[in-house]
Amino acid sequence: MPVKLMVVIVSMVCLHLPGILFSQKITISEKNIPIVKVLNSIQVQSGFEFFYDNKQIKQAGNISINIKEVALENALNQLFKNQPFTYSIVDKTIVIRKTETPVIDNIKSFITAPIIVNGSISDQDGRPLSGATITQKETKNATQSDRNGEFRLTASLEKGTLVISFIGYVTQEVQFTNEQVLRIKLLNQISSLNDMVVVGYGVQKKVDLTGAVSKVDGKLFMDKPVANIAQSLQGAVPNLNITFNDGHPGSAGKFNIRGMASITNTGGSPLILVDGVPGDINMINPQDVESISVLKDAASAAIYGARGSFGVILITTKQGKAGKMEIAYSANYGIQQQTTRTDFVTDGFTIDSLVDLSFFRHNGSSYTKYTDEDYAELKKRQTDKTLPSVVVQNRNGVNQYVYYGSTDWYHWLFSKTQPSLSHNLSISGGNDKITYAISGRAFEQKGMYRSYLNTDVFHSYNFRAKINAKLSHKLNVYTNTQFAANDYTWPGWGYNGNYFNFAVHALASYVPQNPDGTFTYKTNLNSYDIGNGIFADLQHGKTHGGNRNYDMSNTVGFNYSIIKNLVITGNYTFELMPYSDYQRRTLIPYSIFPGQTTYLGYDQLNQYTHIDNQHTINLYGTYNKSHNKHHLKLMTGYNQEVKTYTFNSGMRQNLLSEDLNQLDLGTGLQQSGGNSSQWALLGFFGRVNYDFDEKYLVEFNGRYDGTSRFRPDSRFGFFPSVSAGWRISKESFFDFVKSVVSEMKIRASYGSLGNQDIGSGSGNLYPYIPVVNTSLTHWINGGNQTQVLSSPIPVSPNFTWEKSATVDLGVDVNFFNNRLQVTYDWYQRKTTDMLVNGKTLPAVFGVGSPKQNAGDLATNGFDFSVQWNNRLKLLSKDFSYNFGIVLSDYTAKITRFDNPANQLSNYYIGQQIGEKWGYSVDGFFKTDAEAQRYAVNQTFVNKQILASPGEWKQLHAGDMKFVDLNGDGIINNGHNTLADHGDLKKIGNSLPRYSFGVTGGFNWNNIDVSFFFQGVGKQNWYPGSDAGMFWGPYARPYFSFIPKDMPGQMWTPENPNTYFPLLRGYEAYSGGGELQAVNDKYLQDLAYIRLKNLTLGYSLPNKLIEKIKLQKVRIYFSGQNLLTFTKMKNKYIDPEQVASGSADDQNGNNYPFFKNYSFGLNVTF
Amino acid sequence: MKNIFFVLIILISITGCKKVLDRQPLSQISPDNAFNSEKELQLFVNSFYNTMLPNADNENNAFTSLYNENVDNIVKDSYSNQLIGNRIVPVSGGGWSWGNLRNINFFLHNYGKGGLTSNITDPYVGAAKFFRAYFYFGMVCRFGDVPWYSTVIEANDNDALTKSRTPHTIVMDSILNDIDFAIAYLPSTKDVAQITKWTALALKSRICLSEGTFRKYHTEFNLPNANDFLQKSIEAAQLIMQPASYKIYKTTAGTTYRDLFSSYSPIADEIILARQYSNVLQVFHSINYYTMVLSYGRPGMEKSLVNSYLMKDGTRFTDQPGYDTMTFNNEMKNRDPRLYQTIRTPGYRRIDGTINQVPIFTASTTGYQITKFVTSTKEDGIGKGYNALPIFRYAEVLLNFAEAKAELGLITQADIDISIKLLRDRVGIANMNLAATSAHPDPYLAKQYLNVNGSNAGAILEVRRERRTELVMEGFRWNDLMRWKEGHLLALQYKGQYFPGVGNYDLDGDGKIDLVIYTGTKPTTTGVQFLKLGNEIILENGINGNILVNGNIAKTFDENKDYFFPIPTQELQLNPNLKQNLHW
Repeated sequence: MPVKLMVVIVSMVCLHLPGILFSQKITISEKNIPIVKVLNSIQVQSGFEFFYDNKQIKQAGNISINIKEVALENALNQLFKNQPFTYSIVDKTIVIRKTETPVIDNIKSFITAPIIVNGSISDQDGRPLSGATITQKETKNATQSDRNGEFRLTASLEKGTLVISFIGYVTQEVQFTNEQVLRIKLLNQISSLNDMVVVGYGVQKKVDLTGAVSKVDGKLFMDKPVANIAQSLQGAVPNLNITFNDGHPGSAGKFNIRGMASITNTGGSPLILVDGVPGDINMINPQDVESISVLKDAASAAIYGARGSFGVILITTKQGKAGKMEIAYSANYGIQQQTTRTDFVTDGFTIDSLVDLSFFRHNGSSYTKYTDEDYAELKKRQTDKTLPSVVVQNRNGVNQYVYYGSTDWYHWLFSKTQPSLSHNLSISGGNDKITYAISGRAFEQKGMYRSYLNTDVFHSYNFRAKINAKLSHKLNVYTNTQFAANDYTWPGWGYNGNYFNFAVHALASYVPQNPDGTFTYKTNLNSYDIGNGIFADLQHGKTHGGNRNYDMSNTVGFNYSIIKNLVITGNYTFELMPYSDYQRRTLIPYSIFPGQTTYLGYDQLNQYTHIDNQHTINLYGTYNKSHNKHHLKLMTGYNQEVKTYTFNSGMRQNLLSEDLNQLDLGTGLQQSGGNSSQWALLGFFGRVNYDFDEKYLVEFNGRYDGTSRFRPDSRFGFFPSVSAGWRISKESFFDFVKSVVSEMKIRASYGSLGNQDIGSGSGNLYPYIPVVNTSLTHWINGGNQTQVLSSPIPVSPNFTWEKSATVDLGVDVNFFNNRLQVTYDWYQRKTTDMLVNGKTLPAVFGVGSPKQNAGDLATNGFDFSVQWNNRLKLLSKDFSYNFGIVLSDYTAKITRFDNPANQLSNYYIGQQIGEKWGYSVDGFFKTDAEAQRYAVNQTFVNKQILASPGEWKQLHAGDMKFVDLNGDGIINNGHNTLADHGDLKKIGNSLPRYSFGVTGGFNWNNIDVSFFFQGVGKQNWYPGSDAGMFWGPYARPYFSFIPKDMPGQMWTPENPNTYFPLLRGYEAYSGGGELQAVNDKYLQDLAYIRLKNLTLGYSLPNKLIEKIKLQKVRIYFSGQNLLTFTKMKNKYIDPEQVASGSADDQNGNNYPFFKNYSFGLNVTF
Repeated sequence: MKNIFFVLIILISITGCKKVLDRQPLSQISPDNAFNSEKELQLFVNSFYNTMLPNADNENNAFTSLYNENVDNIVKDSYSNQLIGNRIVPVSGGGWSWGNLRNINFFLHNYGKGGLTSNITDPYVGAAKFFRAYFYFGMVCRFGDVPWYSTVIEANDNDALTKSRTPHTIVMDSILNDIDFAIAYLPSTKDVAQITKWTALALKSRICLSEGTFRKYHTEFNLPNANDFLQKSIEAAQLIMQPASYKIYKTTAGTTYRDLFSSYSPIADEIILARQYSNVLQVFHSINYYTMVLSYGRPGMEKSLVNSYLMKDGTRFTDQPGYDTMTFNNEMKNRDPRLYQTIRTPGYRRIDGTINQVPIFTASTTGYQITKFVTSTKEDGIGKGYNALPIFRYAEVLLNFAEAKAELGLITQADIDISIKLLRDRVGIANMNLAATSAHPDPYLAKQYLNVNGSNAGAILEVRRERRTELVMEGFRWNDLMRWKEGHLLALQYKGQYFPGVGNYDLDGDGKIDLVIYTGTKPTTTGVQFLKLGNEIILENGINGNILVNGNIAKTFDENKDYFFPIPTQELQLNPNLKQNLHW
């Protein structure tokens, strides 16, 4: 009965709609009535609440008043004109205080001229603070700072003490004398219990939280030369796991909260909302971020129902504040450099010897086809660098180029350092009616290709404007407009696509160009293509590609206070996300024979255009009620989203120009394509918060969600959660330890969420609808490739929501007056009814088994953070410092899966996700005799060796000795089942364990220092078959980049204690190779710790900059990834480069990772 | 006013929400709408072609690749496991793949949904049944008995999923039913890119010949009616031969056989069905590369096949005195011209070449370097070839006809004159003389084909010679050996050219040295090929003899089990009713 329930929920909102609307003017005409009644009348008319002491107000007695259509303030002025009361308006509350008029002061005021104390209040960074309370201690005279932070207090004494207080700041006492203009800086409170945290559809005080929510302050993103938020956020929040596929400029992060939530969506991307609506986190200007909340447990995320099961990230952008216009400009210039070693073997003789040796041992012939004389020539060039590296020789009757080079291909390709530059400008301010914040950023990061190969370059531009207008005391409207664009262009076939081609067949003995300037591609001696032609292509310079992303979104919304305590919020967002890619290829000229140029490849332009858009509607109401110590908050609302994807592509061949890149220039084959798909979601949600005295806290969340992805009868689901907290430190029995333990709260939550996101491919958008597949085949009929229809992927008739239920137990403890804060959460998430391909069906079924709700998964883990903040005096200056650690971990286990035979080729019950099975290796055979007499049959893992030529078909000293774990005399994987896995055992796990971050820093005398270490405690990786920088010639003999330290690590009779065995080509590359058999000897531990960021800053003294009318000037150095320590036994691959687990990552042939040194400047006007 | 506005929003939301969630695919159609027109039937049937018909570079399956005939015809520098008796039972995969059948059965179940009349649908149903027969024929050849499915299996249909093997005879009869339907309803207009009645007849002649000989020679299975199948093969072939729709392509004797395989578009005179490639569409294969480079396995023609090419006058090369110690230049004199158009022989030039070229030993294990299918030098790169590759051609039909006749003992000289003679006429080689052949069966071939005996042995051996030479590299050899039960031929040591020892060799008789075989230090001559004896070239007797290919690799063929492939272990676990092939 979904519709009925909707009506009930919505009518909860409707019931609170008032009968009349508030007027802006006050009209009262009464005679001789208690002042309280007048106040009530004003309250009803204005919607403002009064706050007063009942006893005091009675002193006012009865009054008469007659006003008509006057503004609130005038009404109040008139009301209190002759009364011993003053009032002040704070937010929507009118506070009434008795006017204190000590007798002595009254007298003084008659006998001395009033003493005026002037001054201004600012925060640590020199920004004016409006609304701070300044009280003279002796007289209790008080005032508030205005929007420029300035105040003027009538003091009654020539000397005295002012007390300045403001929420969130440390209360300060300042001595004043009569002639002084005071400049007072308030320091941030180390830990404010009143910190507000953004949660789903609202904000909560940090102390009132009952779920597991982590908050990150926008400061984290300042001063870092990063392209996007992910690059700074990594490691900052326990169990917010961020990985990167590669290190190309602008590389976007992949997010995950608390580990694997489902095997259908192993990445487990959380829902990411920007200012309450879905947005692309990688398109946001990091400097716009005010705060980020990470909702980790089901209770916090339940308000997002069907999309919260992988957690939620809420990004709040900066808002304008009433006050003087503030202009802030910052700039940053950085230089980046690869994190790994890049010194490869570049000696032609050495590398060719290795290639030919490994090639020969595998198939009995030479790779280079170099003769002994050729080798002699190469050898000569080791010492005599003046000899030419290209000679023309007549071989087999043909004049041809022969290469004797020693090319450092890596550095020929890539520059050692690359610059980046960013500019940020923000303008904000406003008055009590309108506030605004406008910001922009331009960022450029150059990539690593040398300039003569056309450097790849990333640009990013951001613009945001937020305007907030108070149309009345009740109605507030706002807009939030974002425009972001980034583009990345690269030379060659694709920034990562190039890498594999670089990595093969470019022997150091080959060179980029022939003496006549033509490009090299192959020799006439063998048939291999140097770098598969990419080097010639890059030099030719006409092949390139790029992508361009736009994100334009506009939100319009309102807050409307209907009646006292009830606020309705609504907003509508339209987001347009066009993105496009193109790739141009041209014919590549090259030369093998002097004077002859030949062409390789084809001339083609591909263009792909996506236009995606999304509509989002939110409408919700919040109601607050406090009575004595009871606090109640209700929230309910409605959310609806529709997203449409549209895609078009075009291809033309043989363009009229190599330099112009438009489809219209094509003269050859043309192809086009396009498609579109949609999804829609809607949900009704509600939340109840109740606390007693902020001591006992309880919260209920629920969401009734519908999705277009499931068939109508199983489309809706209800997802409830509950959480509770107990602030033990508020109990009286706790008082005796208060001096040590200042705050302690225990929390528990439980919630059940749904997951409708079973992938974003069009097959996953309509998973319940079987569709006929369409495709273009390679069968040619009548000169065209045939279009085909084929049978649909089978659909299981009755699947529905995947569900996840999370238990979270947490504790927050603060010690030593909140200087030490510790938070710990333990959780268990049970994902049930995962939409997985069901049990392995016999192959006669013909396709993979259809998706069913057939799997359960349990994820256990913890998040832990500890933070120490303190402030003291050092050489009579304020010295504040902090130190913190975050640590998290999780493991995931299959608890239900239909695989009765427990085949290791599929998921099985009890399987630890990520587990790696492999063989055990007991070093190398010491002698040929030992190898050939080894009683264990290694045929299963030695197929390559057995097919080798001549003597190499036998095992030799230096070959690997596998351990016969099950003692059956043969090395194999048995039936590859859990019961019979032969000699396999679990040797590791590819999921990261113990992710951590360590932060610290201090501020002293205008100097600020902060550091941030980040790392992973344990993660296994078995190098992929094309991991050339790991395996070198043990995989493909002709890998181009052989680490410099590798030749010394190859087994030889003279050097038997090495890491690698006897050199044989293809052993790590092809099935049946001894190194391809996953084993414990070459399993890597990617554990690492890296100095993610180090920032040193210096702010110019205020005295200096005030003269040039500036508020703040700061210069800084910021370094990213400065140091890395890893357990991996390879210094040429960054541990993060192979950690993300995506398929093309397994080889480390992707764009590398970088360290960055940057200098920057912040100026605030 | 404003609150009315709110209420309106809410009302719209509520009433709209059901519709909001109703999202249908925008770029795909549902099966219910996929069979409304003949065009759609055609599109669906198109899906069978690409995945089911053999492709160029498919190395996994010896009898479905279009040129990579890595059996005992063409020898590479390494062997797949089935060639050396080294197959293991795989956990999964191993050719036990049924996706194509599902696609066909889906079509057969749904084609009527659009309500099209049978005169429109029949040709497409015929095509689907052709492909089902083709599919099952492949499965039967590979695995022996297999379960027969004529409907799409549902995920919860346990009976179907755990079905045991259907008796061999029932599967074969079902295949025949399908193929007969296809013959009856497929269009009879010739088309090299589409299945026609003629393709179906050619397939029927192929299947029935295969099954007939299988039943005849694999007596261990006690299968009846071998002769019926042979007879059916003959009948099917005759239905193609009689209307003379196809003919043997014949232009210049010295190049016509070569041109048949290097043509970019299929020669429709003879080609019944071909896979086409395209430079424009960038659909390529790598035949030139495969035959000429050092890293593609260095394919070379096996010596016993070279030996079985006749002399041009129709006599046997192996009857020549000293045939087994002839060097290359001599052994290539006066041979079946097809040999000259299949491998590099003296005087060989590339299609667009102007100089004579000798075999390159580093690109060919045996020294008999392949040229069949090889095209212009422009297409020498990897993935650059685009000549069409035949899948069915008329010559095979004629050979099927002759073989079935011979196996039945019914072959006459007249039968030979309408079949084998046409193939020999094309290249200008003397016709086969049945009487002479029957009187004196070739002892060289008789030593190979151990199961051939009886009065028609001579004819059978000659037909097999003709088949092996005419159809070399076209993917028939594996299945031929299996159905003839002559798997032991796989276990022989493969050899190449004969060399009397170290020395200088003029391979093409042009008076110039082409090859130097040496020991010790390498001579310093230029412009020739060098092979270091015992290292880069290994001869049978050490110092002389035929090239020994992969002498280090031990080969066996287990007569008890190796005629079939094993069923993956996972399948046996998942379906307890499925039993492994014998001795696996």
